[in-house]
Formats: sequence, C-alpha cells, structure tokens
Amino acid sequence: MSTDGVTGPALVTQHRHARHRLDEVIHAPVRLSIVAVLAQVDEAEFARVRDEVEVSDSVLSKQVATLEQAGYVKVRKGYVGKRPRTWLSLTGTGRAAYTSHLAALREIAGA
Amino acid sequence: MQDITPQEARERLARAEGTGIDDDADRRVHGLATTAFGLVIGLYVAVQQRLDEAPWEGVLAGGYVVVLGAVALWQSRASGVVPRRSRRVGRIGLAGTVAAMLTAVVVLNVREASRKLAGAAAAPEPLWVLGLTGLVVALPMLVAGLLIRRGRPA
Repeated sequence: MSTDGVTGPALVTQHRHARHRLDEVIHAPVRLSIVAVLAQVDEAEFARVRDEVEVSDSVLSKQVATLEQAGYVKVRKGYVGKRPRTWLSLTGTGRAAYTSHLAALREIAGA
Repeated sequence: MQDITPQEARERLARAEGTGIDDDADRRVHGLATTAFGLVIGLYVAVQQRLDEAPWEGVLAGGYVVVLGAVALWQSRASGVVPRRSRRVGRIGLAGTVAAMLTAVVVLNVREASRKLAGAAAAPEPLWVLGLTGLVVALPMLVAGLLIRRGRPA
C-alpha cells in the first residue's frame, strides 16, 4: 500500500508517532532543563546551571555525567585565578538531539 | 519510550523554552571585553610605530601582554556564562583585527621606505595616520563587541 507515492520504510517513518522521536536521554525532566539551559549559550559555569535548574550539586553532577556519556554535553575544568571552575557546553550532537526532541514535543503538543 | 500526553508535552515545552540563563549582564561583559581587546591591540599597533627601535619597546610589549591578560581575567571572573555565538563572533572579529594589523604594518613599512627613498628619512608618521591605523585595526573587534552586546551576533 502506498500514500502519495511513498512506499515501504519511508511510509513507516512518515507515519510513526512523534513519541518515537523523543530522545530517551533528554526526556527526563531535569536533563531536559539542563539541555534547555545549555542550548541558549556557548558555555555556562556549573554553578550558574545548578542555580538555573534549581538542583543540588550532586544531582547536577549525576545528570551531567549521563548527558556526557551520551555525547550531548562537554565538561571542561579550569581555573579562574586560583579557584577551580567547571564549565558545561552542549555538543553538536546534543544540540541536534535537543532540536529534534523539541520538534517531537511540539508535534505531540499540537496533536 | 513512555507515552506522553499533549498536555505533558506542552508543559515540558513551556519549561524548556522558559529558561533564561543568558542575561544582559553577561552580554555586556563579553561585549565590553571584546571591545577592550580591539582597542588595546589598535593602541599597541599605533604606539609601537612611534616607539620603533626605542628602548621603551620592550616595556610597551610587556604592558600590552599584561593588559590583555587582565581583560581576559576580568572577563572570565565577571561572567559565568558565554552567550550563544559570542565566541564565534569574537573570533571572526579577532581574525579581522589581525588581518587589519598585518595590512597596517605592511602599509606603514612601505610608506617609511618610500620616504627614505625620497630623502625624507627619520620623519615619523603623523599622529593622525597612527590614530587612523589604530582605529582601523580595532574596528573589527569593536563591531564584534557591539554585536555580542546587542545579543544578535549571528
């Protein structure tokens, strides 16, 4: 069977529900908030992200580790003067995954 | 993947799109720092032409490095966020400033050689030429700083 000349796997992809395109890693509420914050900037300090997302240091560390493992977030450690600081940024893969996740959410929200 | 209702999707979208970590103060810091880098580089190029071969040249170069380092330190201390695309815009501005600096040095050297050939040796460049040189060198970074400050850099 075909629709508008589309057949086989293309048809399946076209008709798949948007929930199948939600990203498992980003779907968790705290991780979605972290990625949403990082999507707005080139790089942000760990403490600023923690305050914005309103979680503890340990929760943020754990969630960032998951995102880092998925290749979505890059962690950079450095110093400002003598103070150690940790910087977080979204990778290209992470940004693409977030964009796709938002598109799927919008599609579901509009359904 | 677990099911998600349209209402839940709307709530998550609202939460994701409602965050605002990149504030005006961060853009101001990075815009000002980029502007300051441009001005310092432009000033150095202009002043260095006047101090060419003078004993103060080393002091000037040392001071130049210290001031650039101080601006970089202030920038990293004053802001915990690097606004979106500000790095790319800053790098493009820096590339423009470096290109203008190399061009300016070549042009000034050619002018000096021409003066020597014409028998007007040892006459320094007029101040307005040096001022204009510094401004041209600084200009790409001044524009980059303004774009970063305005928050629509790309």
